[in-house]
Amino acid sequence: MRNSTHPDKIQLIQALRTGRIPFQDHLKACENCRTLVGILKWSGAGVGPLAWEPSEAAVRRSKAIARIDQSRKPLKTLTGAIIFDSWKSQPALAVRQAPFGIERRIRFKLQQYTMEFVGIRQMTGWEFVARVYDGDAVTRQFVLQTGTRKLVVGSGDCFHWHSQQPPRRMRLLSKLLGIDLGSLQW
Amino acid sequence: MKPALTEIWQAVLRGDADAWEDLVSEYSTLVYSVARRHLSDSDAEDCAQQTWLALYKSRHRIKDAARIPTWLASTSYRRAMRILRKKYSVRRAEQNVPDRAGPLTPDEHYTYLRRQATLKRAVESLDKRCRTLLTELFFSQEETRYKELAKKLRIPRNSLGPTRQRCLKKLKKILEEYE
Ligand SMILES: [Zn+2]
Repeated sequence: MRNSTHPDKIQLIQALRTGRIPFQDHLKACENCRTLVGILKWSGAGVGPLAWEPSEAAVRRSKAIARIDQSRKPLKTLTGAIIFDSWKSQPALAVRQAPFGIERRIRFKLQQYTMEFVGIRQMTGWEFVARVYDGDAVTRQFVLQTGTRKLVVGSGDCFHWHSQQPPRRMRLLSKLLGIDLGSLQW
Repeated sequence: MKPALTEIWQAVLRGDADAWEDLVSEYSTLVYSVARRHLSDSDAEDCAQQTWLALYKSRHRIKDAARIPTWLASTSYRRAMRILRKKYSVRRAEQNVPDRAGPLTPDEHYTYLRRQATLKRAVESLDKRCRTLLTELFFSQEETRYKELAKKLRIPRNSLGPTRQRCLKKLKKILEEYE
């Protein structure tokens, strides 16, 4: 705040930062500014920048630590079934030769768990999105393993990943259950 | 209401992955900020991830949940220094403080971050006029002009001084209660 008598906030912070306070006399006489200086000092206004926000992706990686660790040894492993595959009606060879823009949708199921999977071939490789449901509700309890890679649920409660090659095997893993999703032909 | 740190930590120790996520949400700014004060953003992200991994690995050795924030801050700081030492000399590491601010221990860093969060909460709990005025005062990056602020608060310009004084007194009282 700026007026003719009180030092403004930036001047106060500068003074706290450098330890040089050119308006000592004013502070002695002005309770208003003394209170303000006290609170600024207490909250660390003079020690330079304190707070930085990590990126969403970085926070997601740290959040994934426990889930990935617990997914190493599920109590039991079962095999899921493909109950829908959009490529069933297309000749696979022709599709494999298509340059890009080709899409494959698969639905896997085991007991109450369903995984919706979409793969889209791009110029730069494949983009994949998958989402797991426990009954009708989306669940975040699983880690998705494709090859040696383990993925955790990201934005929109989906797994997102990019790869040069489409996955031949995928597994859903949690502390209690591993679901082998069978092998895929591309 | 958010669960207390002790409850979250007990759940983490029981192997609750959701509780671990809650813990990361709560302290990711602290862990990253302590590192970021000395490192570039990508080095600070690596440092933060190493710190979280270290906490996860040593989780069964930490019985007192209240120690976790300072454990995180000091681990992040030590790892940041190690990363810096690998890249530059120790001297450079210690000098590499932004804004030519003085050195800050991880404990102090945590204390100030906590106080800033307290300050924010305290300001938010005030009546609308004080909230607007003190938000400008403490959290705006720019200097606010008296004339514009008076207009915003719909009060005459000459009553801004007394209003500010009244609001600061209220705030000070709340902060004393929080501490
Ligand atoms: Zn004053």
